[in-house]
Amino acid sequence: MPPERMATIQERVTRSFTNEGISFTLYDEDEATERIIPIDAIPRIVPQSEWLTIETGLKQRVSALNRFLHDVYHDARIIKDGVIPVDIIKSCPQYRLEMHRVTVPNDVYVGICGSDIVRTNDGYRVLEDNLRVPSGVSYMIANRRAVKSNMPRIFRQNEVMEVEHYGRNLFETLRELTWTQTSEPSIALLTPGLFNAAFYEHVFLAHEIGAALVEGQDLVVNDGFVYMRTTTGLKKVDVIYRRVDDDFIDPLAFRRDSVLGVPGLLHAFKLGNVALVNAPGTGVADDKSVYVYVPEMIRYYLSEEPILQNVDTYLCRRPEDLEYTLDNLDKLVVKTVGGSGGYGMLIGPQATQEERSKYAQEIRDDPANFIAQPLMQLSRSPCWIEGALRPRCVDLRPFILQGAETRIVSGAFCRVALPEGSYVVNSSQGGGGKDVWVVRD
Amino acid sequence: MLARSAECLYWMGRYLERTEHLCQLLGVQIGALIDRPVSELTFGWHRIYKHLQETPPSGEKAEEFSFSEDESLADAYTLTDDLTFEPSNKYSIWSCFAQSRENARQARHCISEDMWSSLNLSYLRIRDATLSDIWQDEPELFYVDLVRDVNTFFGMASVSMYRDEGWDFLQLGKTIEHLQLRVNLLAIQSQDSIPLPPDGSRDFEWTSLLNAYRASGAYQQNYGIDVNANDALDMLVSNADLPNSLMYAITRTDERIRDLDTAPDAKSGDSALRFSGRLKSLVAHEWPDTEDRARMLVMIGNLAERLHDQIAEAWFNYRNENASRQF
Repeated sequence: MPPERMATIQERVTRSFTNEGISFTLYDEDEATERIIPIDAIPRIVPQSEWLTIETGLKQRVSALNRFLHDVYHDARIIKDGVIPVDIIKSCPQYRLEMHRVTVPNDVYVGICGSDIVRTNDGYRVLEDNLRVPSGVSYMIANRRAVKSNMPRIFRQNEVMEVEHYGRNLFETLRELTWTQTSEPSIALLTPGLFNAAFYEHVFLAHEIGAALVEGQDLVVNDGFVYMRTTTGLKKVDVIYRRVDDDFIDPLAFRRDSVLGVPGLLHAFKLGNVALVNAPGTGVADDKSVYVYVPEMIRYYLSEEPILQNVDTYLCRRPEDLEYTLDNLDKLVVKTVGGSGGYGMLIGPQATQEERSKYAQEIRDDPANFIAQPLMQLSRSPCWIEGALRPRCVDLRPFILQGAETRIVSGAFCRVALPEGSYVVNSSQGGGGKDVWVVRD
Repeated sequence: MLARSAECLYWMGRYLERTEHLCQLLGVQIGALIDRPVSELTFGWHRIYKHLQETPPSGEKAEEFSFSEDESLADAYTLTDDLTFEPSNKYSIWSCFAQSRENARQARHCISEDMWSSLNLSYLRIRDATLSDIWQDEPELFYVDLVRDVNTFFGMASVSMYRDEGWDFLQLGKTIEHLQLRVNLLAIQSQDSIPLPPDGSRDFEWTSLLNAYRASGAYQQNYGIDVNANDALDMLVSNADLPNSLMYAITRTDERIRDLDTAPDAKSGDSALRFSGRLKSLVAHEWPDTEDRARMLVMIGNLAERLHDQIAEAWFNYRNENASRQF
């Protein structure tokens, strides 16, 4: 394709995002700014054979994570059998005592999972599993629509696997996760509101699944049932796809100062009168300390070998790992165990000596709060930047839906570290996105 | 429909109508800068600020501010900027349009993609504009374009929006805003407290208003080419066939309220119906015989305000214990 043609396509794709207001919100100290998410028009190609490995591996992983969550909130066999140290679970702020012995529909705690995958010289590896309120799926679909409409012939010629039925799959999953599994459930998508970074996605998904987009103030708990305030009165809600963290969903059960949640929601959930997806307490399984044990969970619960490997990880709570981390800070990426969005991490090789020293002190002060990983040589993908093809680091975030069955559309949100030399792909840190084409080999 | 989404659609309609209304007034006002005397310009600014119940940036009361021949253009620049681009002025066109978009963002799943794109494109066009960008050439074209954008949005809505409650609340917001702004303007214009221009003529004020409301043609058809204040006011209030008249807005408002399902707060819903009926009857039966038109306009304005309050109580802000439950 001639460069002029490619430039035109890139310009059109970017303009379509701007015109349609496909945005996320960035925060600095003073204000929130609505930003259009940058999109690169050149799709990332994944051969179908590689995709099948990813898909099978992710299904295996989510199955094990759900088994783990059920176990950890019931008999805790995995702890009793010494597979995972009890102190890791006990010290995890996302472990919710309120969920002890609480039954959830189909024993599914994680209905929606977004796992971050990187391609290395040793194949695909899972960097982390986002099990609380994973975001990015709207950008996956928006990327697809923008690129497909601007490269229709190439798209057709390559027999690219579809992703746009994600909404249908999500609806089915939510339906399967209601207590009654009614054919026409009343669904509410609970958003923190307009100023949330992912508000565009909340609106997008509510539209895709025909859900009411509610804030905490729109819901009321009465006699153990949850209702939403409509223009014809109070309407009972069967399932809530919540995009609000555990801490804020119910001021009676969790943070008392939360104005985003619904008083009494956890009580209604425990009574089995409303389903919450994902269930409260799932964060214990995406804590970065617990992540280390996911391969062991797969062996323990499924008696299988993990199909997708983890990235090597050092738990600073272990004295030998702490020592290694502090000695090799210039070679490692260090993160807080509960962190997300690329905030609060140290990329050792790119940090100054002063930054490393300051961070080292933070690690020494609270070792259990940190993990370290080698700086992954992320695979690079060609991107159209300033009129030329340039390599940029990328990762993949596929979305796994777990209801009565497991569903994964053949595609993902591909995050791109757009600044030259950057390894940080998070949208909040200047990252962008590109479409992923899963094509026949 | 979720009550808050309905409220967002209602306010989206209100803010867009407000944007259009202000654009129409400012377009005429800016056009008048070309060749109208300072006294008429002063009156025009006075009219705009007073009916919005706002104070001009100078801090003078709307009744008191005046221009000199030397300063008129400079002052016009300041006032135009305040009413067009000033973010801290809640009645500036920029603020109104930005508010309509914020409401649209929150109810984006309830409107069509065409409606959203149309609104967002307009927003992107005016988002970073400044008065200096538009002042050099033909500033009135900015207002013409924005009115066209608002009309395009409602045109998109009429061909692409499902006729559910969302449609009703969007239209209800539009007609209530239409009613409130225009009745305030007509009331201000009919009050004796407004100083007459030095030449004693009220021609400009009514001619400019008829132009702003695209009602000059209709006026000519009904009354001929000489503009008479009483006839102009009569037409702008009671002519049911004129889309910019109060009667037209009242009739549409009444139709919308009757189209809605029973309100969760049935008592307030009934009150809203009574108020809209009362407004209709006031304009249809009492307006022609009244001797104190200014007072009646104030009465219509008060009723319109109470009608808004009842709508909000009935459908948006009702008490949970008053509402019925659906399983």
